[in-house]
Amino acid sequence: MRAVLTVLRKELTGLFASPIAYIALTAMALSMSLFFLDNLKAFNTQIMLLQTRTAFDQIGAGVLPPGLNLFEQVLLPTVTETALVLLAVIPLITMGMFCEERTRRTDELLLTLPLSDTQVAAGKFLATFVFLIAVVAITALLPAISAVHTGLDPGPILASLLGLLLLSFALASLGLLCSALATNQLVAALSAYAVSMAILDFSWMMEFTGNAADRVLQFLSLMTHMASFPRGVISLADIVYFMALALGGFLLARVSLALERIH
Amino acid sequence: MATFLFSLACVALAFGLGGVYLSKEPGPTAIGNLLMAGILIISAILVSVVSVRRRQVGLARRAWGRAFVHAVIAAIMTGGILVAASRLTYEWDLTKPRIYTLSEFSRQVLEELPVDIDAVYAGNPAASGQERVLIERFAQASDRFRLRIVSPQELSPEAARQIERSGSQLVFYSGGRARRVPAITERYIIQTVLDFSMRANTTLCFVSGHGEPSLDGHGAKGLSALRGNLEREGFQTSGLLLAAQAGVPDACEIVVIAAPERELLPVERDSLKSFLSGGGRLLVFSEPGRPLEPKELLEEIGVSALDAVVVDEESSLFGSEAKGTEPIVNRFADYHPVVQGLTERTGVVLSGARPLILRGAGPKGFLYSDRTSRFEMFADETREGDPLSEMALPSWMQRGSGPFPLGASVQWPTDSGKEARIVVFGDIDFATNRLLGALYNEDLVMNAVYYLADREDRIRIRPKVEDLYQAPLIPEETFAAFNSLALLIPEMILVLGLFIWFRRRRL
Repeated sequence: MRAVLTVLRKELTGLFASPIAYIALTAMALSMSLFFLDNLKAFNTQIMLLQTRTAFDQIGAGVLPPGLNLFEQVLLPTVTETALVLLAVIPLITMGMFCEERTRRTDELLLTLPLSDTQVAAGKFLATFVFLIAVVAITALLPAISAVHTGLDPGPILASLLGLLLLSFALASLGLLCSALATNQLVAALSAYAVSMAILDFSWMMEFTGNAADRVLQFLSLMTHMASFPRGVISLADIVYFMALALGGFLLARVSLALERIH
Repeated sequence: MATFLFSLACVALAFGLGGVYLSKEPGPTAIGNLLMAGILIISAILVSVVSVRRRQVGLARRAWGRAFVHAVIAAIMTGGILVAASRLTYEWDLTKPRIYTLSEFSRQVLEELPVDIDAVYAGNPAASGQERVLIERFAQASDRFRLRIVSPQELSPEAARQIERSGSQLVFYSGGRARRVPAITERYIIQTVLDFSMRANTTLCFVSGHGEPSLDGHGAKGLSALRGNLEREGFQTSGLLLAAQAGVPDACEIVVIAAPERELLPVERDSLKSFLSGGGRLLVFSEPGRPLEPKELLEEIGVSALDAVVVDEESSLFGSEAKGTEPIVNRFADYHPVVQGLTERTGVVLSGARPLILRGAGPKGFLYSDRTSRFEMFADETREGDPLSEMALPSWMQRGSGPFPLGASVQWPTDSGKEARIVVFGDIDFATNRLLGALYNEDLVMNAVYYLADREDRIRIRPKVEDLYQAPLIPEETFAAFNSLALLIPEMILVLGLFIWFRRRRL
């Protein structure tokens, strides 16, 4: 465990010493804030227009139509948009985690240290996850303040943040796997984008597939598993899905490190 | 070579999928990119395998074999967990405890329920779980509210078909009467409960004969919605042709003057004066361009009104472009019982409101327009001279900018031992069919009536659809949040990053 913590500390120091970490944090804080405020403004306008209309028509006055609620109009689009920003940012964070060792020729030093492949991989994965917790914590500031100020139900907000965190863990694992397999950072980032986009949403393929395949594709899509979090529902299946992706990425990255020793 | 092919494949795959996601349907470029990506990936794999075969001998080959087995095990483990995950159904609904907590208003109605109500809920339990939770909350709040849940299979084919169309159905039975709840929300359920439970014990008499809006009028300017609300909450309503009466009938406990277009007759004013001196209660609505009645009496106690329209071009609650003469008002005097429970987040929407002028210690304003509001004199070509100078406005009002009082009350002891009370509003539109259901208008009117009826204990905010009527952040907070969080924090992070980067470069 101490070995893992040593790698973790070393990776975190390296991460926070690079400008890319701060660019990622800035991009996330800025984009989440702008998305949240923009969606909030649109929602407020819709509510006021609807109030005036229903009051005038006396049709269903006082009842909002299904779908016109804070979660579907503000949290859901904000989380979806933020998830896409995460998809763009995470490969930039993960691309150097393994590749940079090769580029700088420090991989030989790392592999000759009295550390197992599992310890090295775990240290790097944990460092990335810790950094992503900071990223998601920064994106949580605006929704959290709005919840504290207005007494809004914090449940869906917490669930949304948990969803974003799990999604970022899954995306980071795929990015780290690509970084472990690729020979340079550009290839690592490109392949991480390609893999992430490939499993982001399979709904477009469902036109060409049957019912059974539809269900499988739907289950494999990242966005399917993000849908219920903004509504305040945490599904065990979604948690296990994201954790399985993270675990799969970790195990395969570990295998890639083992292969590295051969060369 | 393999890396080059793989990089090309990634680019093709990213652009192919990006094209599909953005256009929502696979176009020729996207399909071409995806096909190319597939070919390039296969080529990269083949090139890798060939190069690996050439290099592998002895120990290395065994290591490759072991790595391959580990990779297969990792893939099987991941796949197995994913398959297991697809069968998991357990969920935590974090919204339930808050969304389905009944409002104080509903709880009070249920605690005081004077009749037994049998609720029959029919619907697909799997599809309407949240509705069921809400109805169960009602049953838990009162022993007199009994809930029976029936599945659609237990119903007749026609009823089952109806439920299939509407999703679910809730019917209340009480005292031989049945009533269907139009929508399963707290608001509609409690309204239907009130329909059964309330008994009329206070009578409101609406003065008529001077061009007042009709109590039965179903048009935008009618008061039928207000009448329905009053009767549902236990008030009896009737018209009052005051000129034809010797005085205000004893049955009238509250008299309502709903923005008459013409002045009252002296005899009517006298009747109202003697009604008030006996501890009567008066609810007065006014509109620009119409007389504020009973004029002398109100002036005597320090209440008059400017013949002007309040204009608030900035909507104070929603921060969006509002019609200037339909201000959303969210400034309430929190000490006053009429506006108890109303806050800056729970605005009311008025239309063509006139500012009240309050003099002396008697009148207490409880509803005010925003600071940014102003007033424009109501067009009256028959009037000569400067109406503003004639009225000797209070100095704070002469500045021409808000806040202006739009609702006020006066109360004083009478010889009868009962307190006389008057509530005056500078608008009637907010209580008409057009706007009564908007925002918290209904609560303001009903709570004013409860105040006049000496039922302050029933002053409550009526249930709304969840808490969605509230603005999550009012514009000032949005502005502050944008400046502090959306701009300042990203900037600070970037500055910190630059600082560390430059510092490391110098090392």
